[in-house]
Order: sequence, then structure tokens, then C-alpha cells
Amino acid sequence: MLKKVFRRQAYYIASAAFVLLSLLYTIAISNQAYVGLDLMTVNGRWIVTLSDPHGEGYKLGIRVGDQILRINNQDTGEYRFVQKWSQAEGASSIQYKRVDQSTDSIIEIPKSTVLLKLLSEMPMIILGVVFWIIGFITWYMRPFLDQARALFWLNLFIGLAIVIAPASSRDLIFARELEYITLSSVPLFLIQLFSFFPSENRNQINKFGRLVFASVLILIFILTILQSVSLIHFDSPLKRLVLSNLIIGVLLVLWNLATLFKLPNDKPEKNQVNILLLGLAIGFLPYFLLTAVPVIFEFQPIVNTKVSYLFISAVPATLYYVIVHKYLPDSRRLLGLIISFFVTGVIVSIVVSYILLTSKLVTTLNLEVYLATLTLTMSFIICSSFIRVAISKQIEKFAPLEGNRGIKRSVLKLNERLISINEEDRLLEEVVKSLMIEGALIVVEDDKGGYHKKAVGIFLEKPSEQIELEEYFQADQRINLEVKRFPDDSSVELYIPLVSNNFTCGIFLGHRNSRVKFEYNELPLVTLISSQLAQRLMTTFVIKDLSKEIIDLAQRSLDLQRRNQRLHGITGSLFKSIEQERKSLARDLHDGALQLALDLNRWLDDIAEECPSAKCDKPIKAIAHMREVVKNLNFELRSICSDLRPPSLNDLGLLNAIQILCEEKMENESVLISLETVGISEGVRLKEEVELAAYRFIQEGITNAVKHSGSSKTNIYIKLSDSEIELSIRDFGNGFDIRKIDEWPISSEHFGLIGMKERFQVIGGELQINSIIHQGTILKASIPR
Amino acid sequence: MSMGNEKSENIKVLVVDDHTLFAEGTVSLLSSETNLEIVGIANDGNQCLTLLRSKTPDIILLDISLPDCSGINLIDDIKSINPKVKIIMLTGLNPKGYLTKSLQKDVHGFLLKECNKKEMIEAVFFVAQGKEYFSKGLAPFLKFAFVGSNGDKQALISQPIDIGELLSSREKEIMDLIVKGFNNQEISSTLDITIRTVKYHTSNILFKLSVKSRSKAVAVWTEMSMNEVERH
Repeated sequence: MLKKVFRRQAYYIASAAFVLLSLLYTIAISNQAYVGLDLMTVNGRWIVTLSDPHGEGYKLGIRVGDQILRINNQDTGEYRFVQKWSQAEGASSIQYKRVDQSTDSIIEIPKSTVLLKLLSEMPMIILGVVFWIIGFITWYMRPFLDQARALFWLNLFIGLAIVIAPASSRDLIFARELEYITLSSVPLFLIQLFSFFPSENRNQINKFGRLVFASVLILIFILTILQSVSLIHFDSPLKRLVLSNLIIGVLLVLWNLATLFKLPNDKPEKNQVNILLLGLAIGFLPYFLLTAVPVIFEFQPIVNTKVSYLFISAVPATLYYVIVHKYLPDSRRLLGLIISFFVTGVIVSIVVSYILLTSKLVTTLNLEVYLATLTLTMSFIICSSFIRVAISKQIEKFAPLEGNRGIKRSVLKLNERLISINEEDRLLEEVVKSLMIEGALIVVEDDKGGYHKKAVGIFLEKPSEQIELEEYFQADQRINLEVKRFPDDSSVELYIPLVSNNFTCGIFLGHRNSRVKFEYNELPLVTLISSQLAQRLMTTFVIKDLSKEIIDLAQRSLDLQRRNQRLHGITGSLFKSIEQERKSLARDLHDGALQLALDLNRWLDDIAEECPSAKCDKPIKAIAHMREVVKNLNFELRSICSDLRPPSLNDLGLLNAIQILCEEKMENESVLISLETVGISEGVRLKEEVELAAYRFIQEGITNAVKHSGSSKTNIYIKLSDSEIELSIRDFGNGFDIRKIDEWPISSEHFGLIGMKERFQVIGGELQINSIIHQGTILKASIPR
Repeated sequence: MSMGNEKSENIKVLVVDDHTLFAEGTVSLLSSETNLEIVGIANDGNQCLTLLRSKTPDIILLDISLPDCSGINLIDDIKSINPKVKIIMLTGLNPKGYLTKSLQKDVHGFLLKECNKKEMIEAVFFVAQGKEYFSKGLAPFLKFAFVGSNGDKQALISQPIDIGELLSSREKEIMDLIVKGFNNQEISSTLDITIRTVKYHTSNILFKLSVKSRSKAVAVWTEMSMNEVERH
């Protein structure tokens, strides 16, 4: 316990030391200009071997090859830093002689740096601090994780090396010594970190490498001390040794990571390795290529060293991300993100520097200005996104949602989104995106034989796999509705079977892009969201089916309606033509056959009259018989005419015709008919079709009452109003079950009423049939006038 | 028939009937009479009115079923043109309904087309003399046409009638079957007579009993029979 506490203390102490040193050296560099001259003694003369274009020396006219005569009014060889590091840092005045001139000149180095200069040094310090902060946060968030601890120390040292770089280049109080030592320890920490991260990798090379780098560290340490006390003068080789050591260390680590690259695709570590390689390459390679290698091989750096330093910020960022975040984004997407981030910074800083130039805030547009703006804009962008992330985290923290775990949150969000998404294609895509998986396949089957499937991601690309999975789904009895894990070599990670009322459903989820397996405690949530998804999809399918059915039904009903209309038309014209036929048949009989028979009758009468006392009995009998036959014939013909179309209806009108009808019925059947009328008198005439329909209704009604009701009494009621004629016939007989009307076969027995209904529909009338068994029947009709 | 100078002239008759055969028969039948003059045959209502104006007939023999209108409806038009003209309706149809209507419109005669020569001539002369004439077969209809549908029963019941004399034996036979609930078809087959004959007798029975319906006839007949039994 004590050890643990102590160990925790160590991190705080180290951090405090870091902060202290950073502050110290930052203040220090602001008080001393950077001269940037490397010297070498050639035949007792101090010649400039390197003049940094950013140094004050270069700016004041000192170039490579110039001879430095005196520094701070001392002989060059006796100047402290020349003795120690062969550099002219800390000088306030330099007397030198140019290569092509014989006269000496003296330059004064300003005491402190100008603000712009200081600003261009700031990225280094910020970068260093960022390293430390990230390391610290990593350790703080996962204090018991070995990787986090290793990262803390690694970052602390890298950060320190970077922070003191400007001070070291000015040869400030032990800065250079500290720089060498910290830089040399970086490879050791790197190897330490990557020997067990992202996967256990304690191979011989790592062990050996660690040993070598530890020895080199000790060697450099000793050499630096010796150099510092000026016992030896190996400053240039020492510098190269330190850088080479660093490069080799980083390369070894990269190589180590690259060996992990051959990990199978479905391991989560693979994604981590990808991201790390990306981060380390982006971070270190520019620094090596642009700064370290030129220094080692003693030629002018290609680009300002600080540019290459900037890239290093990618290293702690990736390391932090990979260690702290369990669920990593897809490394490919990340690459895109970083590139866009960086390009944004570069473009914005170009625009900003241009604006600075045009607004005359700076006089010339050089690399230094650009670098300064790049620094500012990049840090602005980074800071603003950090602030944004921090604010949103805070909001989430205080928001009612307690689900702080990534998966829970994304599932909740997903659930919300699922509700708002209506297209089933997008539903599945949303699930795949939110769970960060490679693909998903859902198969839904309903009990009516409906079958739907939907695939996105990798399953969409591989139809053969889809078929295999569908076969699996078909074979699954779904007795056990537990989530099943598929073996690692399958493209499916989880299979979730679901059964709801009428549906059976199977959901296949692919692996996460990061290859991190779903944990057991995540499965309920994943199942939940899957069932939500399935429900939504089922609903969509049901709605789809229904709407198809509805459209189908609507079409069918439209067809039926059309057919009905046609039938109505046909029925209407059928009734019309039947009546027409009857009318003309009646007329033909009346005008033809009946008149002939009447004539015949008259002649027979005449003959009978003429010869009443014929001698022969036979002709008289024959004539008498013929007269009887003709009378019967007349009677028959008249009855037929009357049945076909009562002439009284046409000649005398509806009411008279009905009266005659009733009288005849009463004469010939044992029935009493009462007729009550309102608003209609004998002279009132209506349209022929209305009169006919009304007459036929009454005729049919009376016939039915007489035939079927068994009632000896029938009441007829007729009421004529402005718009329509109402008719009703009531008997007090047997009655029938009106619910069975629709079931009646259209036989001759029932055709009357059913036909009547049809007939009334055609002319826009209505027919109501009410009947109670043993109480009688009421037929009601209304016909528009 | 000499009734003054003007009256001694021939009676001018207009025949209105679109049935050529029957109309011509009528014409030939009437023209055998010396005092009758057929002034024309109209085939429809329109022609009738035209001839009425041009020929000024004394009597119109008017068929009810005409191609362009009903003879019943023509009566008013005829009277508006010549109120003095006398009208004899003529029909081959069942006179029910038409008779009442015609009487309401004050026609002078009503003939069934089944009537014989004698009847028709008699009718023309009767009407020409200012009398009314109705075919013999119209008796059952006439009662109701004049009396109406109510008040008939009391008149009969108030004065006891010997039912043995009221109906003929054939009618009694049929009445018994009616009381038993037989319909016309059944009666016709039972008695081996035509439906026409059954109907003829039935309407005579109803006429004699002064009722309009079979059920009332049954009631009246039963009551009368009961009284008869009581009396004996």
C-alpha cells in the first residue's frame, strides 16, 4: 500500500519537476537571444561551421567560414561555452572577420529575444507540455495500467527533451546536458512501452535492445558529464550519438510494431497497431528526416527544425488514445480525420499569414512568420476542439442520462435515432454505424410464409455468405433464444435470434471495426437494440404488406365498383326493356289478337241472332260453342294484357290503377286491403317510370302478402310529397328473418323482393324490409319524383 | 223516329277507334240503319277533335285505348269544343275503373266491345234520345260506380232477403266453395268450368251481396245463412 502511495507520489513529483523545469527554461530563453553559431578550431583559429539562419549570428551577418576573433571581449577559445560545446551562445558581443574581408567587425547581440522570436519558440514548449499532459492524463485515467505508467514516463521524458530544446540550443544552465540525457532515455522508455503494448512482445530483440539502450544511456550520461566539466571535447560526436541513438530506438520500435502488423485481421490489437504505426510515423519521421539526419551528417537542415518538431505531437496523441480508449475508431477513418485536421490547420495558417501581411502586421512573409501562425492556428484548432469535447462531456455528465459507458450511450442514441428513421435500409446502416461493426444481416420470417432479409456492410458485399447465414437461420430451431457467438474466423461475431408474435427473426452482427469483442455485459444492450431493430423492421414489413394489401383491395373494390356500376346499368336497362317489352306485347295483343277476337265475337253474335230457329240443331250448337270459346279467348287476352301492363295505369294514373288492383285482389282472394293516401288524388299523374315502379311495388307487395304471409289483412299507405313518393305495405302474417334476406337464393320465389331492391336502386329509390316473425312484414319504399 | 224537322234528320255518328277491323265492322253495322249517318272514323284523339269541329257529329263512339291518348282524357276536350255532343264509351278492356271515371265525366253511354249489333244500335238511339245506355255486362260494376264503396251492407241486412232466391244454384255452389277457402283456380277445376266463368259468377255474387271483397262476401253469406237457420 505504502509502495503504491509512494509510487503515486512519484508521478506527482515528476510532474511538478517537469512543470518547474519548463517554467524555468521558458523564462531563461526569454532573457537570452539565440546566437546559433557552431565553431571549430582550425590551426588555432575559431571558424564558424554552422550558422543557424534563425540565430542572431546569422541575422547579423556571420556566415559559415567566418573567423570569430573575440566573444564578450575574451579570446574565443577562452569563452566558456566555446570551451564546453564549441558554441557562441550567451555572447553579448562578437568580433569576427569575414572570409572575404580582411577587416574585423563587431556585432552586438541583443540581451533578450523579441516577442515574435519568443513566440516561434513557444510551439516547442507547448508541444513538450502537451506530451507531459497527455502522459499525465493517461496515467491519471488508468493509474493501474502498466501501459499507462510506461506512457507517462515516456511522455515525461520526451516532453522534457522538447521543452528544454530551445534552452539547450542557447546552452543555458545545464540545459544541454539535461537534453542529451533525456533524449537518450527516450528509446529505453519506448522499448519498455512497446514490449508489452499493444500486445505482449517480450522477445529477444526487445530484451537485448533494452540492454543496449540502457548501456548507451549510461555512456552518454558519463560522456555528457565529462563534456560538461570540459574534461573531454567530444561535443559534436556526442550530439550525433544522442540523435542516432534516438533514431535507432524509434526505428526499432517501429519495426517491432511492424512485426505485429502480421496479426490476423480479426484481432482488436491489429487496429491498435495500425493506429500506433500511423501516429509514430507521422510524429517521428519528419523530425528524423528534416532535423536529426542533417545534424548527424553535418549539413544544413532542410526545413526549420521546429516544423519537424510539430509532427511529434501526433505521437502522444495516438498513444494516449490507444491506451485510454478501449473502443478505438476504425484506423482508416482516423487517418482521414488526422489528414483533414492537419490540412485545415495548414490552409487556415496560410490564410492567416496572408491576412497578417496584407494588414501590415508583419513586414515580410517568411517561414518564421508562417510557422508562428501555423502554431497559433493549430493550437487554436486543437484547443477549441478540446474545449468543445470538454464542454460536451460536462454537459453529458450533468445531463440526466447516467449511462457513461460508451456502448450504453451509443445504444441509447441509436435507439432514439431508430425511432425517427423510417426506411428500413437506413435503420440497419445506423445500427452498423453506431455499434461500429463491419456489417449486419437481418432475416425476418412471418407465419404466413413472408420472408424478408436485409444486409449491410460486409454481408452486402458477399451474397454467398448471406446464403450461408440464411441457411443457418433456417436450420436454427430457435428453442434457445440466447445470443450466440460465432468463431473468430467467421465474419459474424454475434447471432441474435428473436421470436415475436407472428415473426421469427435472426440478426447477425459482424465484428467491430476495432476487433474489440463485445463483452458479456454488453450483450443485453446489444440484444435489446437488436430486438428494437427487429421490431421496427417487422413493423415496416407489416406496414408494407398491409399497404400492398390495401392497394390491392382498393384496386379490387374499384374494379368491383366499376363492375357493379356496369351491372347497375345493365339491370336498369334490363328492367326498362322488360317493361318496354311487356308494354309493347300488351299493346300488340290488345290491338291485334283482342280486336280480331272481338270482331269474331260480333260476327258470331250476329249469326246467332240472324238464325235463331235454324232447322239443323248442330250449327246452332256449334255457334254457341264458338261464342263461348271466343268469350274465353277475349277474357284470356284481356287478362294477359292486364298482367303485362295494366292499361288503367297509363290511362287513369297511379292511384286509380292501385285501387283497381286492390279491388280485383279482394274479389279474387280472401284478403281485405285498406288503402290510405296522403297528398295524392286520382288526377295526379307522375313520371311513367315512377308510376310504374310504385305500381309494381304495390303489386309485388300485395302478391307476397297474399301468397306468403297468411294474413287476411293488408294495409297500404301512400304519401306523396314534393320530392318523393312514399309507399308502404303492411301485413300481419308470418313474417320472416330479415337477416336471411341476403342469403336468399335468387330463385323465382324471392326474386320479386330482390328484384324490387335492384329496380329501386336504379331509379334512385330505396326499399326497406322490416319483418318480425309471427307479427308481420312492413315493406317501405321511397321513390324520388 | 220523327222528332220535329231537325230531329228527323239522320243521327250523325263519329267513330273513334284505331282498330281498323273493329271500326269498319262498327261502321258497316251502323250504316244498315237508315236514320244513322257515319260522318267519319277517327284513328286517334287528334283526328277525333278535328272531325268533331268539321263534321259536328251528334254522337261519338269513343274507344278508350287510343294511340295518342286515353279516351277518358279526351272527354273533357270534346266537351269544351262541343258541349252538346253525346259520348258513348267503347272498350275491349276490363271496364273496371274506366266506368267510374267515365260516369264522373258525364258520358251518356258505355259499351263493351263484346256487345252485339242490337245492343250497339240500341245504345246509339237511346243516347240520341237523351237517355243513358250501359252494356248488360256492366251491371256488377255499375252498382259500385253509383253507390260507392260504403253503406251497402246495412241496406241489405236491414231488409231480410230470402237467400234461396238471392243467388242462383250455380252461384250458391261457388259461394260454398269460397266459404271453404277455395281460390278461383281450385273452384274452376272442382266445378270443371273456366276461370272466366268463375270470375264472372264471383263478381255477380259480390254484386248481389252488395260487397266488394270476397272476405266480406263470406262474412255476409255466413251471417245470412245463420239467420236463415234461425228462421226455420
